[in-house]
Amino acid sequence: MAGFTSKDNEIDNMSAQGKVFQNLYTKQFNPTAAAVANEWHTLFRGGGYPQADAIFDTGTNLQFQSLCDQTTNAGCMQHGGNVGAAGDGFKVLTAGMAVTAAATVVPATLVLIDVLAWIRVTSVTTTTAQSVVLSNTFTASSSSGLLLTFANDWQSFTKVRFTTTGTLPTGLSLNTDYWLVRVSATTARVATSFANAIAGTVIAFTDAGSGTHTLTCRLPRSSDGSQVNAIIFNPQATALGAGTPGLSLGYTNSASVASRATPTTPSLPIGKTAATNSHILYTGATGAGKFGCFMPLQGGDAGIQSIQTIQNNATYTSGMYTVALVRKLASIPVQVLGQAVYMDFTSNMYPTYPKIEDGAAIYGILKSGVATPALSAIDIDLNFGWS
Amino acid sequence: MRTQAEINAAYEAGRYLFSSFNKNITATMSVGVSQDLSGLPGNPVAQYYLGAAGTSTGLYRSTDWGLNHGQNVDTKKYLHTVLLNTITAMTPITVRVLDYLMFYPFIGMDTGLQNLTNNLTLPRYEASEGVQMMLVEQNPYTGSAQVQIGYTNQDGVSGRLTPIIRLNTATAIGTIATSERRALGVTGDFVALQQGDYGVQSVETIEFITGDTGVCAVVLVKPIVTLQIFETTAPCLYDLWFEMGVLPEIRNDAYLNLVVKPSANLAGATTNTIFGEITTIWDA
Repeated sequence: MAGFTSKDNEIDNMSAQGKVFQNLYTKQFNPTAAAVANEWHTLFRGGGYPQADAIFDTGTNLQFQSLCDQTTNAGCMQHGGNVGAAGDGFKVLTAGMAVTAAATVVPATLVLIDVLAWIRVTSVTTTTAQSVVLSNTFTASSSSGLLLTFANDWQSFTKVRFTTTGTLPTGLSLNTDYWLVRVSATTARVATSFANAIAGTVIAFTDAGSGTHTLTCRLPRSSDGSQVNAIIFNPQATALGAGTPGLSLGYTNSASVASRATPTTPSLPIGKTAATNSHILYTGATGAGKFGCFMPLQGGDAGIQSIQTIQNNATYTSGMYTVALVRKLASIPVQVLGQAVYMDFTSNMYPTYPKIEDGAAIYGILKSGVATPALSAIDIDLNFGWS
Repeated sequence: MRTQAEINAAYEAGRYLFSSFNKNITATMSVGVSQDLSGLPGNPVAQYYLGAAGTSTGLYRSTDWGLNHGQNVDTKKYLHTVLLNTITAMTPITVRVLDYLMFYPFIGMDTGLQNLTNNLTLPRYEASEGVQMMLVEQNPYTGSAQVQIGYTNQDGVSGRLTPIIRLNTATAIGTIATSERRALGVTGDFVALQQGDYGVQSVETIEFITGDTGVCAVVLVKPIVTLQIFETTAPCLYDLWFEMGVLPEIRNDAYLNLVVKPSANLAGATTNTIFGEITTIWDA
């Protein structure tokens, strides 16, 4: 349920003890429209194995939604289940391979990411900063355990912490992580670990406490925000409307410093007009406001712990976009038609030992160096090991 | 194998087997469409998914051949090196080594739901860790059929359903029916599973929503390793421990064979050969 202490420890665990999981995934690039060269696109909505996601264009406008490999319709790459007893362990991505037989995809760069959470924005004609819903007040009652009732629909397995103006219900403590087990659109039970949440083992009801209680969502993994970045993309088949807005986030960084903001120099990231399905809006070859796959962070920041505001400073006339909080796992260059590139992330080649936390929702994003037709398939082999 | 020293000791003590193979690709292959080599001629001898229609049937080294990985051992056996080579213009080509566990043969592709019969549980990887489904063309179909498969997942939960999958239009026997370089609804070499699943214990139903002529088999496999032949005439030698950080375990009586995915079209011919060698080692 952890990494390796030595090369011998690695071979002992992965080979002798069989603590290894390997699988082949096939994802289709661009489900709806061809991509322009040098744009980044997510592989979320493309078909293949795993199947296309059906979540990133769902949910209440501007609401934080937690994501893990158990989330219904997530369409993420499965990596063999949890390895920690409480769902708090991790594997290591030991090797990865990518290859495509579609000539018009290569050269390309595949980046594997763990998507931690997403926030859907449908109010794209609003040009002021819009607040993200990250917390709710709640009441407590008894229904097959402690039942919380609140306003928003939170995903199962959302990691939360509680605060109160009085006394929390018995079983809940301040400054402690809990996991929600969704019952309905406005109710959930509470588990003390991710594993308990999956198993349905929840906290019993003793009392409702006193005062006004609040739950606040946390990132399900990398909860302090270290190495966490944001991407903004079109999550649905319908293209965004016309518009080239500057895109910005107000966030708390991984050092828990609030009121951080996307830098405006040399330019805010600028969204592409009529961006198509899966396009990461501010990516492309040329022009002002073009960036790499991740939103730039304020100087000195090493990650995003939470997002407080999202702004497009000019309108998109229609459509929606989604902000996803992600942690990069690995990059795999895809260089030549049909030629696999095998990356060893252990000490033999690129000793980065990417950490795959229990519950990780693994996806790919891809930048093709050439114009790429819709539905082009790319094969991805991943090997995981743990101790 | 717990240390590099133990790997070295295995060779010093003679606990290794070197064996060779050559498979003739007599089937016509299409770019981006995978081909199962287990049913093609050469060494090891072909197997044709023979068994009672729609009934689980096991595959074993002792009865069905496959790549020779040596005798059964009381300890653990590992695949250490693989050498791949071809003199046919089909490179670069992806080569997957799979442990073929069991199959459900001769499934007609008429529209409608079919129940499959499970007289056998998985002969290896009984907990189905990482076991995947392949749909293999046994008799040519027209193509573009749509199918959904019901199965039991790695946790023993039955009633799991794959998404509705579209099959390719390749007509060669042995084609992996779900592989295609660019087509809506195909899923690659393996059948996509329901969200949250990462293994298959058994297959209970198959429903052709849009039917077809032809016959296919559902094959349960455990992926061992994926490799490449980069160039024609230039052999590729892989030390799996050194280059990929793992020695894949080979279970006793495992039926090993290959699936390839070419990056060029290839007319079938007996002279289309993939040569290779494997070395297995085992614990004391």
